[in-house]
Amino acid sequence: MGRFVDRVVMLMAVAGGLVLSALVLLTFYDVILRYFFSAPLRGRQDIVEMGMVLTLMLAAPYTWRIGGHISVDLYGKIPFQPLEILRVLLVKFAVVGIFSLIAWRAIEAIEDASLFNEATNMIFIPHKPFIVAIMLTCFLHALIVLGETYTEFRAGLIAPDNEGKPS
Amino acid sequence: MTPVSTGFFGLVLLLVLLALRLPVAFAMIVAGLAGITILNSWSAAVSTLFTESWGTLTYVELTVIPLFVLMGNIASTSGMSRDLYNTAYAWIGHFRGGLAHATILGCTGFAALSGSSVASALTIGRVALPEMKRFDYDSKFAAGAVAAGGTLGILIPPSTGFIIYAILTEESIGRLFLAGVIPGLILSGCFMAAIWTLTMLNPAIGPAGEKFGFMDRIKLLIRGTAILMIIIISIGGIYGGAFTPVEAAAVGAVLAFLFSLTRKEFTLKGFIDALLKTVATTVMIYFIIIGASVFSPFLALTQIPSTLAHTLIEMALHPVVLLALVLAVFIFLGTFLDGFAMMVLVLPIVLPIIQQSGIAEVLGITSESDLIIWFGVIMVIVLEMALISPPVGMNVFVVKSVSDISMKEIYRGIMPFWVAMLVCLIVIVTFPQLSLYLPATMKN
Repeated sequence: MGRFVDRVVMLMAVAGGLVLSALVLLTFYDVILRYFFSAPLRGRQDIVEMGMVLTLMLAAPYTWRIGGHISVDLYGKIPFQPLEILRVLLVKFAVVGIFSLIAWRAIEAIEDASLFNEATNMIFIPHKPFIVAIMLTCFLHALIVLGETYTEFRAGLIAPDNEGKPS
Repeated sequence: MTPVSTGFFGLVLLLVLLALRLPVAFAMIVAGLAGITILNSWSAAVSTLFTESWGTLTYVELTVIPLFVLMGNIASTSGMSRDLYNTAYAWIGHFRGGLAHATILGCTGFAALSGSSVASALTIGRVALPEMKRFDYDSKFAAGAVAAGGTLGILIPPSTGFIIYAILTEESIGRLFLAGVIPGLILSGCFMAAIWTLTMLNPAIGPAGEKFGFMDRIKLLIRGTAILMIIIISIGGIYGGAFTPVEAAAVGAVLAFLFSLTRKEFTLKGFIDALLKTVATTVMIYFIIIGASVFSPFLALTQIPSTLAHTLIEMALHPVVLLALVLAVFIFLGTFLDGFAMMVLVLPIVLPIIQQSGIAEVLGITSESDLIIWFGVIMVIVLEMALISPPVGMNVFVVKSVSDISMKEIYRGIMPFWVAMLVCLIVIVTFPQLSLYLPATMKN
């Protein structure tokens, strides 16, 4: 499971990186248009706003899988195994909880976005598809952390390395 | 529970979660959610979590982070950073301690391409440490120079430290970037002075390196000029009012990419690696900001920052003593907390204290905005000290990862540079104009 999940999250992160590259080009293009043709691109800011949502949500599971979040690493494993297991469980469930909460709240936000036709300011890009993206990726993130916890415990391993890099 | 006691409960919970090694971003979210639930309601807490997440993800000014990080990663992947070091090496490597000086200059140049201290230490360390080993440099001294030089990454613009500070204080990113230029160069000078002093006292720790021919030096200088151009266009563009920081970052990233295309070290795999590193760093920083955005409203509800500021002001300490106290606390926290984490956690509490302390009058700082900018520079220098302070100094881990030098030796090697940082900090505190001159003359 681990290798398949890693491949999927990496592909998602690369996709996020490509969206980011597109945003870089778009901003550069806007600068050129503004300086040389006095014709700035209308709605660039709106596209960048929504593009960043995609970039970040696509890359979030990858960041978790590579231990990309900073944690305060004052000690190694707790020598008493049951306590160490409890600690790892607590960390993983906290993360599952946070992403589940965001996903759950996003469902309500989707309804609101539909009801009030929420959109960006300049070119009215609807918020709804991007909130859906947040909901799906957060749900996936929570599932990945749950799955990794299950797999590690089943194999008799705990992988604190996945919890974050030392500060 | 009173708001203040709930606040202390939240802070203790946060420390417990951090000690359990829950990533900093998530620890702040959990503590913030618990606190808001107690002081307000569960639905308010969850609503805050989503609203702040959405607000952070769509905050367009924050885009400057991934764009500058991408620029630095492309420069690093394509070997541009190595050119910086090689150029400095060719010109000053043949002096006593010259390779260590070249390391500092390489880091200073790379810092102007990358906002990350870790990236600076890693990139320059990979090239500089083997060279210094080849010329029999003392391993402690070499490690100290790389770890300390790397810290310049978050002081010299573009700096992720300044971006986060700007977001937290609602200050201008461009002005903060410019505020870091002169202090960054002073710090670089302090490091070089430390190297000069150390090699004067004990020449054996930094023997002279090989001497390059004049034409070789010129060739390397020309290669290094490409990087200088990117720096001048992007950072100079902000100063001259040509670009916003986001635009400057995009222009810098595109230029770095175009220059990279002319180099054979730059491959598709390298580009994808740069993208992956960029998005991972970006997610990490964004989630810390989301964490801070959930934790800060809770802190505000507890009234702890205002109560603490009030109490300290009523103690009628001299503003300088108060500032020294705050900086001492920062330096202490920095020994075990990550720099960014420390900033987002402590800033909401400390900034009101600094604003009401009267330090602005003592130092002749005339506006609130200038005070915030000056304090930002101070804070970032303290973050840099945190990066090389035992037991948890990120740059020390980085140097360890690219060398076979023991942690104990690295920390011993860092000490003189740490003292140089302290000297720089005192200079910047004493002369606020060093930080405020460029922002004041910046064109809008």
